[in-house]
Amino acid sequence: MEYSENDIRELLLAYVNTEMNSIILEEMPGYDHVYSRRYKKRLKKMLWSEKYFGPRLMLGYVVRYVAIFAAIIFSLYAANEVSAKVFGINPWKTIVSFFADSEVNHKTYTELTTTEHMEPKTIVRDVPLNVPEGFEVVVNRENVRRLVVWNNKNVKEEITYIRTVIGHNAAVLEDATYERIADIMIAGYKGYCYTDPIHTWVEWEDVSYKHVIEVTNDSYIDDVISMANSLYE
Amino acid sequence: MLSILLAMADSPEDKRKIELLYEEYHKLMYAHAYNMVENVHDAEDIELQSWEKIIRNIHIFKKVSSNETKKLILTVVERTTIDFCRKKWNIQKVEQLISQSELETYVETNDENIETVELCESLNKLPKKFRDVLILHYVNELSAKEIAELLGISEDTVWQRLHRGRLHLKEMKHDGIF
Repeated sequence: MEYSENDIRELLLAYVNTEMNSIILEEMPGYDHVYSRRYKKRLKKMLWSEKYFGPRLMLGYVVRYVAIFAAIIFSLYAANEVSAKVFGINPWKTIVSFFADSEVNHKTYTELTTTEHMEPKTIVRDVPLNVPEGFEVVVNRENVRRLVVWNNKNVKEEITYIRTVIGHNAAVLEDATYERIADIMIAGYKGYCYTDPIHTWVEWEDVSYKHVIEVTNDSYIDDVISMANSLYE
Repeated sequence: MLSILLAMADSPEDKRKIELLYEEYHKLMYAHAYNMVENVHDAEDIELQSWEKIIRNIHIFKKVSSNETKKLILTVVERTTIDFCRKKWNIQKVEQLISQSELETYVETNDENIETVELCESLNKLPKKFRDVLILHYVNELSAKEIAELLGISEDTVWQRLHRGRLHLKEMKHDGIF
């Protein structure tokens, strides 16, 4: 006698019922298992995805990761803005400026001749005069170069004078991430006024030195030029 | 955007079904996986992967509390264990697992159920790969496509196993096993 489809179904159903009814869960190894935190976390994630995305679990996982990523980015942005406003430090700008491409100028000096400067002036003092009111000297020293720093505690501004000895064929490397804003004359020597996001400064060379006077606020630029000229008067 | 995503979610009945299935079968699934791999962490991973498979194929679970569903869930766990071990260990180990995954170890024989136990023993002689496909088709009433998706095999293989399984049953009947 042949087996009909129904006979097979009945036979298999009887087999399944017998097999399943005979299972005593409490006697199976691992019945009293206490699930790990990792399991619970993954299950929670899976059930969340199932709740909102049904059988499309992968879509749920992707949306979850995108949401977490967006939350992290938003938090970082918020922390950055708070830091900039409350503490005056913008971490993002600081990091970007650190990794930004730097430019370096390589400058080789050529001795100035008397034909270019019929009456070359030389400096008559080591420290400039005409310093704006409220600024006090906090550093004044000379080893390889002369360095003078004035500080105004009331307005939290600073002026710095740096004088470097130069000679024929002397080579200097200097940061070039700045913008030249004006050409000026200091005691008959050609000079330039530069600015970058932090400082403004004037720079010129005479027969013996390279001079830089730097200020943290560009409103003092006229005072700085006056200080520069005072070195020769 | 959120409303579109929410609209894509399935009916509340399916969501309730998954909760009921979890409440009823998660311990059995873990215990069955643990019985095969004998490792707590692997058994947890297998259970979770099995749940993912169940969620993806939730439409094939018709009733929550029934022997057919219980068998279907255990088949999912066995299949997931085999896939898990194929990735983690070697083929030889997986072949051992297939024989270990037989539930006959839990069957207790007494005078009242001796006939049914004999039936179980007889059907246990049918190779597992044929028996599983036959049960999924005849008991769980799944189509060849659904069986193929669940077991990770091709539809042609499903049809082949169904045909050979029927032939085995015919031979067993011819030999007087049933």
